Amino acid sequence: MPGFDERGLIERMRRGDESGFNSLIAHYMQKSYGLAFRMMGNDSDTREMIQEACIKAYKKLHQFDLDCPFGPWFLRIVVNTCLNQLKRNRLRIFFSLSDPESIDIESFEQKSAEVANPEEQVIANERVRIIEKALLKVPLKQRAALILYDMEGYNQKEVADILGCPVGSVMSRVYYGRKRLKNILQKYFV
Amino acid sequence: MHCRTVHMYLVGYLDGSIPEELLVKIREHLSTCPHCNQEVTEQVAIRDALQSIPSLTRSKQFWMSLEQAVAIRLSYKRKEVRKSIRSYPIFFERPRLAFGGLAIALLLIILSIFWNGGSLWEKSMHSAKAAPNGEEVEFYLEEHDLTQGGTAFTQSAFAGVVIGSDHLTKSGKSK
Repeated sequence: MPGFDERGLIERMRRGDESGFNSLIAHYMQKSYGLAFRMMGNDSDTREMIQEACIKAYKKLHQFDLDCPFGPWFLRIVVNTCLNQLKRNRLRIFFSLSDPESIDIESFEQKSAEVANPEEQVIANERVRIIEKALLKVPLKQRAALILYDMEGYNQKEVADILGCPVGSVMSRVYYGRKRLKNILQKYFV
Repeated sequence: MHCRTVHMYLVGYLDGSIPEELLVKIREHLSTCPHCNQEVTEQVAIRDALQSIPSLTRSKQFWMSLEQAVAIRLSYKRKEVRKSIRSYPIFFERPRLAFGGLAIALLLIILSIFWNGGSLWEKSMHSAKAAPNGEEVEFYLEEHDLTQGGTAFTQSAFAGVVIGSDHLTKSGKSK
């Protein structure tokens, strides 16, 4: 964003003026929330992860290299916070949402047929819902790569920076993540 | 080219991020391999499905409340965090500066020792022996001086009595 001097804000913070940290975080809030939401699958856990990531970023700000952009560094903290939480709780799938395997496709089709006009919209929405749920079944590292690369539109180098792995690993995770997702979705769309 | 190699570079092939030479080889392979063609079709289908998912939308109030929650949580933690940041030794923050300072300090100490004639710790011993009842008795006084730049900044002395081979008393005084 033009006019947004993140380097200046960080330098000010390091000198003891901490007022800029909230605006720095607010600048990346929507992007980081979208990413965390795709990882966690619901709002309450995502909120928790974002707050935790912000505190971690605040604590580690003195280690941040000013010559690098703040965004990938912060997103890396967000991704790692989510991955750690998911590993800790063994939450490989869902919270409030039901298991993708238990999605009732027949009732959905029946329901969408009843809606006369916005039928296509309903189908599209349901399709998105199924994909989002299926994504929660993909292994964590592959899921993170798929979200960043395919959904958020980062390039391979940026994804590698955020995930802290080589570009080759990003390509491999995306490839196998797509394959895994295809296998999960096949149950519904074939 | 082997199918396995093609799969390895398939993501880069689809987004055009691989070198031209590799791109040509993969194209050649795809023109003859139905299995890899199927892989490409599936990868594209999944990529397109993921890209078709709209980005997350939330109300303005939602973002405001989230920012507020973060600010509140940070303000609670700030004091604690600030303390922990301050307690980080300089070695973690600026190791080069810390080690440089340490090296200079050591050099100064060594130089001061040599300038002082090489002796930092001086010890002098005074003793007197007697055998009043046939048994040897030794009185001694031990003095220590710790000096820097020719000035003594700590002094200590110990006095003791040795009868035969036994230390009977030992007293000390430091300044």
